[in-house]
Amino acid sequence: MNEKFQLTDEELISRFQSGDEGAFEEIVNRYADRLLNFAYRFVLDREEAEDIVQDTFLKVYQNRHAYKEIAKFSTWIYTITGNLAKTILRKRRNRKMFFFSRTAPEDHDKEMEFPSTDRQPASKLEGKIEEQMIQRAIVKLPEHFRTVIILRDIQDLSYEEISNIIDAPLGTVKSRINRARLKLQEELEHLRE
Amino acid sequence: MMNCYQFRNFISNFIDEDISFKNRQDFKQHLADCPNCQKMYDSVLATRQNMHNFPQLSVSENFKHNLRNRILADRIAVIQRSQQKSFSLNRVPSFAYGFAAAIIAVAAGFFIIQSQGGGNSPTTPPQVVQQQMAQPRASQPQKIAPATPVRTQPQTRYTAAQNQPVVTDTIADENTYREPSNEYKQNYEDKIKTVKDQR
Repeated sequence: MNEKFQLTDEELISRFQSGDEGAFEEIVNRYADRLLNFAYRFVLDREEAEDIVQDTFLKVYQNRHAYKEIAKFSTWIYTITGNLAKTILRKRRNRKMFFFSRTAPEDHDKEMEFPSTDRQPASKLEGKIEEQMIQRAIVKLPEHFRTVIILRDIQDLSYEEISNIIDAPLGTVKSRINRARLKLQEELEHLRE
Repeated sequence: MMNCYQFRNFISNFIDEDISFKNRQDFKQHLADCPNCQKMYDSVLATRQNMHNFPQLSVSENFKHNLRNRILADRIAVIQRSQQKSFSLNRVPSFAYGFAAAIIAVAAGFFIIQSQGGGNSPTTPPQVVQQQMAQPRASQPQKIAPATPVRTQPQTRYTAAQNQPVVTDTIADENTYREPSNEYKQNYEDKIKTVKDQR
């Protein structure tokens, strides 16, 4: 078995900092899909999500020496992806505002298109509808709620990791996650009505 | 006893098992007693479960290939930037161009004035020199006497006895006037004679 598979993320980045390009490849293998799912839940566009992940790895490659082993590597890389995703959303929002000011008022309420993930079997139509419903509700959440709910309930990160990623105290993270879950329920109720 | 507001605040703590024993008991009690809160709790739990089961996306097949290309392009860009850093016209401050142009203009102007003979011709000596040349004609040759002490190069002579170089500094004494030597007088008279003959 390859030795690199047994190394921790922190050991891998340390090797990469010492010039081992193979370690970087292993990092890409470990994180590409996870980061893609994280970015996708943010921007709901597969291509954009993949671009974000590419940008993330490029930043890791360029700034490999910026990582210090005081935080977990996963925290660092999720922070980069999260920031890039937020930048995309901000740009999109600005673009939207620009176009909305030039379009008819009825266009404002148009829902975002949700591309198919092509992973759900057709028989599970109900589950798919529910997924899309939840995804719509997540998109409607404020950015700070959206971040914590994706990290906690989709990415399954610990409170401590989320606290480091969003740079907020643990207590704030806990209460924010609770409020985000309640808010999500409200949004879902609105969508089901 | 827990009310609905407190119950809502503890939902996540209960789900994530981050709740004290006392609050856990109260939470369970309220859950059993309040149908609205029970509905809310079930809904939160179901949504959470649903999100856990979201289909997982995978990166496209050419993801790594594209990433490698981008890294390569970035490397090339870094190399090019470092090469450009050695010298680049972009790095020269804009005022330097103006300064250089001003210097060139001044030099060109000076050259033009010179070539047009603005004042003296290069073949004729300056006016001051002409006056100095004309002066000896009007007046009689005067006795040359150094008005101020003159420092000349130290003269080195070798004495035969010691075969050691002796350096003598020829500073004329400020208070004493030394008569020019006969040899010097002779040379000077010869020169005057030559000038007169030339005239």
